[in-house]
Amino acid sequence: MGTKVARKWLWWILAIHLVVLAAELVAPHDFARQVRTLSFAPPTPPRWIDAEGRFHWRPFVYALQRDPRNPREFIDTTNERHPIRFWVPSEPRQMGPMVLKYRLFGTSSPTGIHLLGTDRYGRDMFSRILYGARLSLFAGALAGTLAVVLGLIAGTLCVTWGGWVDAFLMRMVELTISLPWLYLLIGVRAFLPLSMDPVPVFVLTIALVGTLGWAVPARLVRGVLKTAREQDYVQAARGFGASEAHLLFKHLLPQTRDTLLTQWALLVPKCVMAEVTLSFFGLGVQEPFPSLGSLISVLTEAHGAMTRVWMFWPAVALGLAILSYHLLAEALQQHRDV
Amino acid sequence: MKDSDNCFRMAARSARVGCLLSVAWICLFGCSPSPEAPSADSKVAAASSSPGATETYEEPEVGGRLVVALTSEPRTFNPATGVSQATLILLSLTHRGLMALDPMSQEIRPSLAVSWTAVPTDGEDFPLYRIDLPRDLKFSDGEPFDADDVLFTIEAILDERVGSPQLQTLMVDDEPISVTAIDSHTVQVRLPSPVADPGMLFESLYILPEHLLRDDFERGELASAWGTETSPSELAGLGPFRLASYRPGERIVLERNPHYFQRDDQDRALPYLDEIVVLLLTDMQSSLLRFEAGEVDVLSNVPVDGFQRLQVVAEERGLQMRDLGAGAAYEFLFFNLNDLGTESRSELIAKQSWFRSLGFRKAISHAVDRQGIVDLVYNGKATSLGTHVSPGKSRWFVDIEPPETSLTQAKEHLARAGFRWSEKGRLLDSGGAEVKLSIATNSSNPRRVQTATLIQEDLSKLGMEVQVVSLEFGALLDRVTNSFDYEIALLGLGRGGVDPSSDLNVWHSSGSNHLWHLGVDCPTTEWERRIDELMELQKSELDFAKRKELYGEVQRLVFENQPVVTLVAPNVLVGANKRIGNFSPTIFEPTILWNVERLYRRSDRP
Repeated sequence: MGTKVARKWLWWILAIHLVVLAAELVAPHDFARQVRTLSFAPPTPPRWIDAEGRFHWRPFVYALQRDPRNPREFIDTTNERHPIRFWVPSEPRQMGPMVLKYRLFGTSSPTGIHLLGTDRYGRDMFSRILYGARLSLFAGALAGTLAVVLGLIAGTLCVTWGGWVDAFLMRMVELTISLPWLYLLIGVRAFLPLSMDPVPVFVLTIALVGTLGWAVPARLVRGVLKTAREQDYVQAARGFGASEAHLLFKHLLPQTRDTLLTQWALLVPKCVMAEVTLSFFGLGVQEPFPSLGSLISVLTEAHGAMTRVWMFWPAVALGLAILSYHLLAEALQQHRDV
Repeated sequence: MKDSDNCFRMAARSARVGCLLSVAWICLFGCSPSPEAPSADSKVAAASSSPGATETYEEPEVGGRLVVALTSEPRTFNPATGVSQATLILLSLTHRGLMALDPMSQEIRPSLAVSWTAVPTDGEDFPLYRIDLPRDLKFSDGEPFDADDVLFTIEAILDERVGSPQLQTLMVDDEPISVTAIDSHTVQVRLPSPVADPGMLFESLYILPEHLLRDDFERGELASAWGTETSPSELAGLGPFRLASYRPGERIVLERNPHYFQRDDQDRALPYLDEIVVLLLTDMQSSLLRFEAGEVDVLSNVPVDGFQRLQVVAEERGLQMRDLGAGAAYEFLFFNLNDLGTESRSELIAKQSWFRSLGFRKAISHAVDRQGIVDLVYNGKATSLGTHVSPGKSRWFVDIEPPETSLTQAKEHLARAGFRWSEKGRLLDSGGAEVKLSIATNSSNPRRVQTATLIQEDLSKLGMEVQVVSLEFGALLDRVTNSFDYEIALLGLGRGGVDPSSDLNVWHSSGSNHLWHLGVDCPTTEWERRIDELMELQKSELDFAKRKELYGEVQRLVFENQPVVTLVAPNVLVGANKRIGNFSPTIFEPTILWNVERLYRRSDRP
């Protein structure tokens, strides 16, 4: 039962990651493109029913215009429909090794399609959430993986070397767990150069968050290995002359698989949150590159957020991603317990 | 040799004046002296005993309470040493000085002083002034005030053991002013050299009660006297209110000073209010919510988003929201032109050759969409600036239009300065290096980060690659003033005072707030030399028209040479409950409470 559910959540998480990985294709706009006349424009949802109440098979959007009665607000221009088309030509841009000349969807509307509205600078929120989620989710996933790998190595060293190595690493575990990681990350960021390209910042964030997350997996791996080492079948293998390396790779490390998977599923959302927190405080990637943290930080202006509810979408996206990981971890936990 | 000595002397003086103004700037609160001068041979008498007496006031209701909000705690109640925003606001309610800024006329007028008269000196070089003090004036504890209190205040402020931030305001050309008593209610002030507006020396100088503080002063403990733990009964001032109680983290209660010296036109005792309750809140958002809920009566420096939301509900909630127009503060970009020596980053030194190019600076100024900043960042509640004096400082404002936003003109300036573009449209310097820049600003101010983000996009249209770096304020200040490890920075200035002399530490090349090039002994360019000269001349020019002309030339030189790219002056936005009468806010601090003695509370909402 647990395996089935875990697999379902794993596919779901994979799907999210694939969508954000293909942000260049899926996003209808460049994440940095400012259209200052569209500052805080509301969402333009796909419609099937026009202003006269007629149904249309092909979804469409209305262009936006300033409300003449209140120039701070926008209204729909309902005299013309702009159908949403798929695979629309666009300016060439790089996606990994590929040069893309199309976007997944788009429209001929002069004000464009903005599924989740725009921000202060008239940048498309949907596109920014895709790019921002890619950064935050992959930073979390990679940092979580790094933490698990480091934990596995440290836990294994504790068991195989024992003695002072074990004692030393376990004291390091306690020290790492007791560190106020946020202040540490802020402190480390202060020592770095003033302006850094987004890629080094991304790598550095992963390295920092990952190296701070190794402690719990290390302690768990150590516990699992110590228990497994005393199992009868391991003792029997040792009695038949199996080497320590053989015992480790053939009998002991496979025992840690479920623990590590569960730990990974628990660590990833924590690492995502670490990246989000850093970006929230302006210590992650800098403008115009988005991160879920920097997108959420605009909500601190409570009055603005109350009148522009679409600015909450990044928080919803983050909540969904974190929830998915937690549900995966729970399913894995159930599977392990079974 | 003589020139360099002169430069060094000016540098030393400006640096000391700057210490005070830096504090004012960091506090983002105006505690330094102010405006323009009446001519030295005139006699300035108090038409009424309060600045802004030309205002017309409503028929008041006497009694009641005013609730205000502060987002920080006072650190002391000592007028000699207080610099924090909360302390300065409280001091403005509980103390008075000899002179005060009239925010309406932007002139210095007598406050406690009855009159201020220039005394003929028979050809002596030292200007002499006579100040007549009122009789029968009492401190809030009932003890009488006389000339000895004025002498004690001057003595205490000038004593280096006290470490008063106002010490430098009482120094003229490195020499302290001297004050002597002619009789118990007349004092004479001798200045070491002419000062354009001598009244401003006393503008923010609150009178200390000698009977309470003399012993502390003699023991050398005045600096630590009147801390926040002091019992209210041990404090006294000449202001309209006196401290009744202080609960840290919760509230401060001020009660009416029964001995306050001012009376209104109907000879009623001022202030009208019985008490002021200062709520100590955590941040502006909670202040906004409390104000909207009617729990706070007045709110100053309202953020633009909150202001516009409150405007919508103003009628329903019984609020009066006022947009006072461009404030004195201005936002600006500046380039790192500091002397970095050889140990600093070679990359940064290479970029400084761009910053030193006038064409490059002008190109950036033309590329910046100031109206975009006004519209998107301040929702229309700001004014584009061509120079550093905003229209809010009406007495000193010279109408210089902001540079036209034009990519064509910007590109022409760059091309003339030797820059060119690659096939991909990237901007290259004369050596073929790509132009990559970073703009640093403080993360605690979202408006600045937003402004930097707009400028990033504007400059990218010129082919520049720009990164926005938002840092914690202390870290940014450290980079700007100590390590010089930044390229371009975005900050705000201008709350320090109204008078041009309060800008001396910014525009004089040796000034401590000459942020783009600190620690200059002598200026390197002709126009910088001219600005130094003009700032020195205006300081002692007694004729207002001539002084304004001198300062206007400074503004024109700043505009022509763009040592900084001035952006916008944010509007000052305030609000009050409609129950509060005589609400007459100004752009200068304390925006709403400057006429606190005349504010009153209506029993019914109008």
